[in-house]
Amino acid sequence: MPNWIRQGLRTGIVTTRYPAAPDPLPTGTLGHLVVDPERCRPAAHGDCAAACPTGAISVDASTFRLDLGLCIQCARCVPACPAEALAFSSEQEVAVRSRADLLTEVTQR
Amino acid sequence: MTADTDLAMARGRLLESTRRLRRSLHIRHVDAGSDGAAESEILALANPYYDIHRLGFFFTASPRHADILMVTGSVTRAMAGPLRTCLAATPEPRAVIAVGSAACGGGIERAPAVLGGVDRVVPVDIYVPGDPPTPLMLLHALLLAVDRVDQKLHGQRHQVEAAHG
Repeated sequence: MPNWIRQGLRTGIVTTRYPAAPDPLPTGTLGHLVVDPERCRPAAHGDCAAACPTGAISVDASTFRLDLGLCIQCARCVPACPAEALAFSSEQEVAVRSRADLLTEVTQR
Repeated sequence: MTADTDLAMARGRLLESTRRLRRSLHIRHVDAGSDGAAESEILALANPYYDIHRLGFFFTASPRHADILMVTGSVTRAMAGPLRTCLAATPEPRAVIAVGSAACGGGIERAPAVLGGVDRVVPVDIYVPGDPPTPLMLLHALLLAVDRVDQKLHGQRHQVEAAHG
Protein backbone atom coordinates (compact mmCIF):
# COMPACT_ATOMS: atom_id res chain seq x y z
CA MET A 1 0.00 0.00 0.00
CA PRO A 2 2.69 2.63 0.85
CA ASN A 3 4.46 1.51 -2.30
CA TRP A 4 1.34 2.18 -4.35
CA ILE A 5 1.00 5.69 -2.90
CA ARG A 6 4.67 6.42 -3.54
CA GLN A 7 4.42 5.09 -7.10
CA GLY A 8 1.26 7.12 -7.73
CA LEU A 9 2.89 10.33 -6.51
CA ARG A 10 6.04 9.67 -8.53
CA THR A 11 4.08 8.95 -11.73
CA GLY A 12 1.93 12.09 -11.50
CA ILE A 13 -1.04 12.76 -13.78
CA VAL A 14 -1.19 10.45 -16.78
CA THR A 15 -4.66 11.46 -18.04
CA THR A 16 -4.94 13.08 -21.46
CA ARG A 17 -6.03 16.72 -21.55
CA TYR A 18 -8.36 16.11 -24.50
CA PRO A 19 -10.70 17.91 -25.39
CA ALA A 20 -8.98 20.96 -23.80
CA ALA A 21 -5.75 20.16 -25.68
CA PRO A 22 -5.14 17.95 -28.74
CA ASP A 23 -3.89 14.42 -28.14
CA PRO A 24 -1.31 12.93 -30.54
CA LEU A 25 -2.09 9.64 -32.24
CA PRO A 26 -0.33 6.70 -30.52
CA THR A 27 2.68 5.43 -32.48
CA GLY A 28 1.89 2.50 -34.73
CA THR A 29 -1.75 3.55 -35.07
CA LEU A 30 -3.33 4.63 -38.32
CA GLY A 31 -5.89 7.42 -38.51
CA HIS A 32 -8.25 7.54 -41.47
CA LEU A 33 -7.44 7.21 -45.16
CA VAL A 34 -7.21 10.44 -47.13
CA VAL A 35 -6.87 10.90 -50.86
CA ASP A 36 -4.97 13.73 -52.47
CA PRO A 37 -7.27 14.94 -55.29
CA GLU A 38 -4.31 16.68 -56.94
CA ARG A 39 -2.60 13.33 -57.50
CA CYS A 40 -5.51 10.92 -57.90
CA ARG A 41 -6.03 9.78 -61.53
CA PRO A 42 -9.04 7.45 -61.51
CA ALA A 43 -9.38 7.55 -65.30
CA ALA A 44 -5.88 6.11 -65.74
CA HIS A 45 -5.95 3.12 -63.35
CA GLY A 46 -7.82 1.52 -60.44
CA ASP A 47 -5.03 -0.34 -58.64
CA CYS A 48 -6.22 0.88 -55.24
CA ALA A 49 -9.68 -0.65 -55.74
CA ALA A 50 -8.10 -3.96 -56.75
CA ALA A 51 -5.98 -3.94 -53.59
CA CYS A 52 -8.87 -3.08 -51.27
CA PRO A 53 -10.21 -6.23 -49.58
CA THR A 54 -13.41 -4.69 -48.23
CA GLY A 55 -14.68 -2.66 -51.19
CA ALA A 56 -14.15 0.63 -49.35
CA ILE A 57 -12.49 1.96 -52.50
CA SER A 58 -14.21 1.63 -55.84
CA VAL A 59 -13.05 3.04 -59.14
CA ASP A 60 -15.23 3.17 -62.23
CA ALA A 61 -14.46 4.87 -65.57
CA SER A 62 -13.35 8.21 -64.19
CA THR A 63 -14.54 8.32 -60.59
CA PHE A 64 -12.73 7.30 -57.40
CA ARG A 65 -14.97 6.60 -54.43
CA LEU A 66 -13.81 6.06 -50.85
CA ASP A 67 -16.17 4.99 -48.06
CA LEU A 68 -14.52 5.31 -44.65
CA GLY A 69 -17.43 3.34 -43.19
CA LEU A 70 -16.03 0.24 -44.92
CA CYS A 71 -12.29 0.92 -44.55
CA ILE A 72 -10.49 -1.36 -42.09
CA GLN A 73 -7.19 0.58 -42.25
CA CYS A 74 -5.23 -2.34 -43.70
CA ALA A 75 -3.22 0.17 -45.79
CA ARG A 76 -2.87 -2.19 -48.78
CA CYS A 77 -4.01 0.59 -51.10
CA VAL A 78 -1.19 2.94 -50.08
CA PRO A 79 1.68 1.07 -51.82
CA ALA A 80 -0.71 -0.03 -54.62
CA CYS A 81 -1.33 3.51 -55.84
CA PRO A 82 1.25 4.40 -58.52
CA ALA A 83 0.50 8.12 -58.12
CA GLU A 84 1.09 8.04 -54.33
CA ALA A 85 -2.23 9.79 -53.80
CA LEU A 86 -3.30 7.78 -50.75
CA ALA A 87 -2.05 8.32 -47.20
CA PHE A 88 -3.22 7.93 -43.63
CA SER A 89 -4.00 11.00 -41.61
CA SER A 90 -3.09 11.31 -37.95
CA GLU A 91 -6.42 12.99 -37.25
CA GLN A 92 -8.37 11.36 -34.43
CA GLU A 93 -11.48 13.53 -34.49
CA VAL A 94 -13.29 11.43 -37.07
CA ALA A 95 -16.82 11.03 -35.67
CA VAL A 96 -19.56 12.34 -37.99
CA ARG A 97 -23.29 12.97 -37.75
CA SER A 98 -24.24 11.64 -41.17
CA ARG A 99 -23.18 8.62 -43.19
CA ALA A 100 -22.57 10.82 -46.25
CA ASP A 101 -19.74 12.60 -44.41
CA LEU A 102 -17.69 9.40 -44.56
CA LEU A 103 -17.68 9.42 -48.37
CA THR A 104 -15.05 10.97 -50.64
CA GLU A 105 -15.34 11.23 -54.38
CA VAL A 106 -12.78 12.26 -56.99
CA THR A 107 -14.05 12.64 -60.53
CA GLN A 108 -11.69 13.15 -63.43
CA ARG A 109 -13.22 15.07 -66.27
CA MET B 1 -53.86 24.41 -10.73
CA THR B 2 -51.94 25.02 -7.50
CA ALA B 3 -50.61 21.47 -7.69
CA ASP B 4 -49.28 22.28 -11.17
CA THR B 5 -47.66 25.49 -9.95
CA ASP B 6 -46.12 23.66 -6.99
CA LEU B 7 -44.79 21.00 -9.32
CA ALA B 8 -43.32 23.62 -11.66
CA MET B 9 -41.63 25.37 -8.70
CA ALA B 10 -40.27 22.09 -7.35
CA ARG B 11 -38.88 21.27 -10.81
CA GLY B 12 -37.31 24.71 -11.03
CA ARG B 13 -35.59 24.23 -7.65
CA LEU B 14 -34.40 20.77 -8.68
CA LEU B 15 -33.04 22.14 -11.96
CA GLU B 16 -31.19 24.89 -10.09
CA SER B 17 -29.64 22.51 -7.56
CA THR B 18 -28.55 19.99 -10.21
CA ARG B 19 -27.23 22.53 -12.71
CA ARG B 20 -23.65 21.39 -12.26
CA LEU B 21 -24.58 17.74 -12.73
CA ARG B 22 -26.54 18.13 -15.95
CA ARG B 23 -23.70 17.16 -18.22
CA SER B 24 -23.39 13.71 -16.70
CA LEU B 25 -24.47 11.00 -19.13
CA HIS B 26 -24.70 7.24 -18.94
CA ILE B 27 -23.62 4.92 -21.72
CA ARG B 28 -24.99 1.50 -22.53
CA HIS B 29 -22.87 -0.66 -24.82
CA VAL B 30 -24.65 -3.11 -27.14
CA ASP B 31 -22.67 -5.79 -28.97
CA ALA B 32 -24.71 -6.44 -32.11
CA GLY B 33 -22.24 -8.87 -33.68
CA SER B 34 -18.80 -7.46 -33.06
CA ASP B 35 -15.44 -9.24 -33.26
CA GLY B 36 -14.41 -7.83 -29.88
CA ALA B 37 -11.91 -5.24 -31.12
CA ALA B 38 -14.22 -2.27 -30.56
CA GLU B 39 -15.09 -3.59 -27.09
CA SER B 40 -11.42 -3.49 -26.15
CA GLU B 41 -11.27 0.19 -27.17
CA ILE B 42 -14.50 1.04 -25.35
CA LEU B 43 -13.10 -0.60 -22.22
CA ALA B 44 -9.95 1.53 -22.58
CA LEU B 45 -12.11 4.69 -22.24
CA ALA B 46 -12.42 3.97 -18.52
CA ASN B 47 -8.67 3.56 -17.89
CA PRO B 48 -6.58 6.28 -16.16
CA TYR B 49 -5.30 7.70 -19.46
CA TYR B 50 -8.65 8.47 -21.12
CA ASP B 51 -10.71 8.55 -17.91
CA ILE B 52 -14.14 9.50 -19.34
CA HIS B 53 -15.51 9.82 -15.81
CA ARG B 54 -13.78 13.23 -15.56
CA LEU B 55 -16.05 14.38 -18.43
CA GLY B 56 -19.20 13.03 -16.79
CA PHE B 57 -19.60 9.84 -18.84
CA PHE B 58 -20.37 6.59 -17.05
CA PHE B 59 -21.16 3.08 -18.20
CA THR B 60 -24.41 1.54 -17.10
CA ALA B 61 -25.69 -2.02 -17.28
CA SER B 62 -29.27 -1.14 -18.17
CA PRO B 63 -30.66 0.72 -21.20
CA ARG B 64 -33.30 2.22 -18.87
CA HIS B 65 -30.57 4.23 -17.18
CA ALA B 66 -28.76 5.09 -20.41
CA ASP B 67 -28.61 8.32 -22.42
CA ILE B 68 -26.25 7.01 -25.10
CA LEU B 69 -26.21 3.63 -26.82
CA MET B 70 -22.86 2.55 -28.24
CA VAL B 71 -23.52 -0.19 -30.78
CA THR B 72 -20.58 -2.25 -32.04
CA GLY B 73 -20.33 -4.67 -34.92
CA SER B 74 -22.36 -5.33 -38.03
CA VAL B 75 -25.83 -6.29 -36.88
CA THR B 76 -26.55 -10.00 -37.07
CA ARG B 77 -30.03 -11.38 -37.70
CA ALA B 78 -30.13 -12.73 -34.15
CA MET B 79 -29.20 -9.39 -32.54
CA ALA B 80 -31.56 -7.17 -34.57
CA GLY B 81 -34.51 -7.92 -32.25
CA PRO B 82 -32.60 -7.37 -28.98
CA LEU B 83 -31.13 -4.15 -30.41
CA ARG B 84 -34.60 -2.78 -31.22
CA THR B 85 -35.81 -3.80 -27.75
CA CYS B 86 -32.80 -2.08 -26.19
CA LEU B 87 -33.49 1.14 -28.11
CA ALA B 88 -37.17 1.04 -27.11
CA ALA B 89 -36.13 0.69 -23.45
CA THR B 90 -33.82 3.74 -23.62
CA PRO B 91 -35.62 6.91 -22.52
CA GLU B 92 -35.64 10.07 -24.69
CA PRO B 93 -33.56 12.14 -25.27
CA ARG B 94 -31.02 9.60 -26.40
CA ALA B 95 -28.24 9.20 -28.92
CA VAL B 96 -27.11 6.12 -30.82
CA ILE B 97 -23.42 5.84 -31.74
CA ALA B 98 -22.34 3.31 -34.39
CA VAL B 99 -18.86 2.29 -33.22
CA GLY B 100 -16.40 1.08 -35.85
CA SER B 101 -16.45 0.50 -39.58
CA ALA B 102 -18.52 -2.67 -39.20
CA ALA B 103 -21.28 -0.77 -37.39
CA CYS B 104 -21.09 2.10 -39.91
CA GLY B 105 -21.05 0.21 -43.19
CA GLY B 106 -21.87 -3.41 -42.44
CA GLY B 107 -18.34 -4.78 -42.24
CA ILE B 108 -16.57 -7.30 -44.42
CA GLU B 109 -18.80 -10.26 -43.55
CA ARG B 110 -21.10 -11.09 -46.45
CA ALA B 111 -23.06 -13.83 -44.72
CA PRO B 112 -26.81 -14.52 -44.57
CA ALA B 113 -26.63 -14.08 -40.79
CA VAL B 114 -25.41 -10.47 -41.12
CA LEU B 115 -27.96 -7.75 -41.86
CA GLY B 116 -25.47 -4.89 -42.30
CA GLY B 117 -24.73 -1.57 -40.63
CA VAL B 118 -26.52 -0.43 -37.48
CA ASP B 119 -28.57 2.14 -39.44
CA ARG B 120 -30.34 -0.71 -41.25
CA VAL B 121 -31.98 -1.61 -37.92
CA VAL B 122 -32.13 1.49 -35.72
CA PRO B 123 -31.59 5.21 -36.47
CA VAL B 124 -27.97 6.28 -35.85
CA ASP B 125 -26.94 9.77 -34.66
CA ILE B 126 -23.14 9.49 -34.72
CA TYR B 127 -20.90 7.34 -36.91
CA VAL B 128 -17.31 6.52 -35.88
CA PRO B 129 -15.19 4.95 -38.64
CA GLY B 130 -12.11 2.85 -37.85
CA ASP B 131 -11.53 -0.82 -37.35
CA PRO B 132 -11.41 -0.48 -34.42
CA PRO B 133 -11.61 3.25 -33.67
CA THR B 134 -9.08 4.44 -31.08
CA PRO B 135 -10.46 5.44 -27.65
CA LEU B 136 -9.85 9.08 -28.56
CA MET B 137 -12.06 8.72 -31.64
CA LEU B 138 -14.75 7.31 -29.35
CA LEU B 139 -14.24 10.19 -26.95
CA HIS B 140 -14.70 12.60 -29.86
CA ALA B 141 -17.92 10.77 -30.80
CA LEU B 142 -19.27 11.01 -27.25
CA LEU B 143 -18.48 14.72 -27.04
CA LEU B 144 -19.96 15.26 -30.53
CA ALA B 145 -23.16 13.55 -29.37
CA VAL B 146 -23.55 16.17 -26.63
CA ASP B 147 -22.35 19.05 -28.87
CA ARG B 148 -19.22 19.80 -26.88
CA VAL B 149 -16.88 19.52 -29.88
CA ASP B 150 -17.21 20.19 -33.60
CA GLN B 151 -17.36 17.72 -36.44
CA LYS B 152 -14.07 17.78 -38.37
CA LEU B 153 -14.67 15.29 -41.18
CA HIS B 154 -17.05 16.14 -44.04
CA GLY B 155 -18.08 14.44 -47.25
CA GLN B 156 -15.96 15.55 -50.21
CA ARG B 157 -16.55 15.72 -53.93
CA HIS B 158 -13.59 16.72 -56.05
CA GLN B 159 -13.55 17.47 -59.75
CA VAL B 160 -10.13 17.23 -61.36
CA GLU B 161 -8.94 17.91 -64.89
CA ALA B 162 -8.18 14.87 -67.04
CA ALA B 163 -4.94 16.39 -68.27
CA HIS B 164 -3.05 16.62 -64.97
CA GLY B 165 -0.45 14.11 -63.78
